[in-house]
Amino acid sequence: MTQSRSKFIRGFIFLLLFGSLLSLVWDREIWPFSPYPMYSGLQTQWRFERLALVGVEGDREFPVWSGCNLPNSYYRLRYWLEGHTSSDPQQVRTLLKRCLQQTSWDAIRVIRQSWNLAEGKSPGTSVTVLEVNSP
Amino acid sequence: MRERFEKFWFAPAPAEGIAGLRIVFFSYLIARYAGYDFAALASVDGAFWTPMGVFAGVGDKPIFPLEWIRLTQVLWKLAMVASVLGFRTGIATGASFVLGALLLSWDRSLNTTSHLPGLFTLLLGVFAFARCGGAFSVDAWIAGRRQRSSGEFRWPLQLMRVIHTFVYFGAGVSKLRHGGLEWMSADHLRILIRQLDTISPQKAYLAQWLSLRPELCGVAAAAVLLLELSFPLVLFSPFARRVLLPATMLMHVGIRLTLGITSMSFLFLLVLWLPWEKAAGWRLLLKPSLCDSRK
Repeated sequence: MTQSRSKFIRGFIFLLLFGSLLSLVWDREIWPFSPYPMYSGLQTQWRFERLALVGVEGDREFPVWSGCNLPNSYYRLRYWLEGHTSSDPQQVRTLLKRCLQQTSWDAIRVIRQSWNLAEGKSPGTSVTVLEVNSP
Repeated sequence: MRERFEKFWFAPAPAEGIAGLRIVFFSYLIARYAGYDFAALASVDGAFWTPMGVFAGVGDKPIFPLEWIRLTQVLWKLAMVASVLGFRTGIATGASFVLGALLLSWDRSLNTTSHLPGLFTLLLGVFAFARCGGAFSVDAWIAGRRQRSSGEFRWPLQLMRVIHTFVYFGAGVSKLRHGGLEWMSADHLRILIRQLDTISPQKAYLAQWLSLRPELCGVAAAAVLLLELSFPLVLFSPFARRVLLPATMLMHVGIRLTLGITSMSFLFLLVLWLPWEKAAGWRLLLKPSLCDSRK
């Protein structure tokens, strides 16, 4: 190994380790480095709520997890809905209108699903939070 | 101290180790992304755009012609095939890294929330700068000579292992930081299991069974945290490797059965810990005539 190659490799090793360490200490993703916070949040509430999308065709309701112009990552969609539905409902409506234009559905709804997790396996309940109808 | 540092990173290792890992790693990536269409992500609404990696600082979702994205992903996959074969290995692994960083950043910015694309990019980067075509490759076959053991073939293995260690250690630190010691409480894990069971009930076969056993939940959560925080020991202790690596494998199987989360890629990455440094012996297994030629 030449001296310049050795210096280059040591610099490269330092860069990757420093990036990994920085991301861990800052607790921030500095892509491609990550603190890998997988399921690190503490869960204390037995009541669990989440927002989800359902499409409507006639009397039929069906879950929408991907397709039209939505990402195919469940978490990306869920976090986006949770971050925008209350704070910026207009943006959610605009997105869902664009989504609806690509389908033959009658409507698309944002629903809030709730479970009492202490009851074990329960079907849960859902209420409509926002609805966009086909023109 | 300095001597131990040098030995850890640069003690001579045979070319076959990193070459063997090159074949296994790139074969896995090809299989994993074979059916994945990065061009399809172009239709994802710009509202989901969260620029990262190559696209950091790009305010709005860029509009690329579909043909460009398709061409990039075809070239990426071809570069990875050439990396497996060890054909023009330096160029192939370099192209795999550059094109991979582009496509995986695109995926992370628009679609996935997984940490895997970043991890794969880091490992692709190590291969790009490593001399990993010295054995089991078309390049070595054309050159017709065997590479001698060198520190060149150890540092990439060690660097990938250290990066891999950050995955588990970081996950453990995050749990302590965000959840504290309460993260090990039985209720926390029971709630998490039941939350995830509402998302993918068909996957978590043992979710209900475990969530009805609070004591076992507490033990399982503590075991996970302990395993993650002690994972760096595998870098230095052969005993820790023998204990913690099978335990990590079991943890991923357990996560699949109780939380319904499939972590195939994390399971696969445990191959980094195979004794690649002893791979010169595997070459003799493949080609016994080499034993005779040494006499």
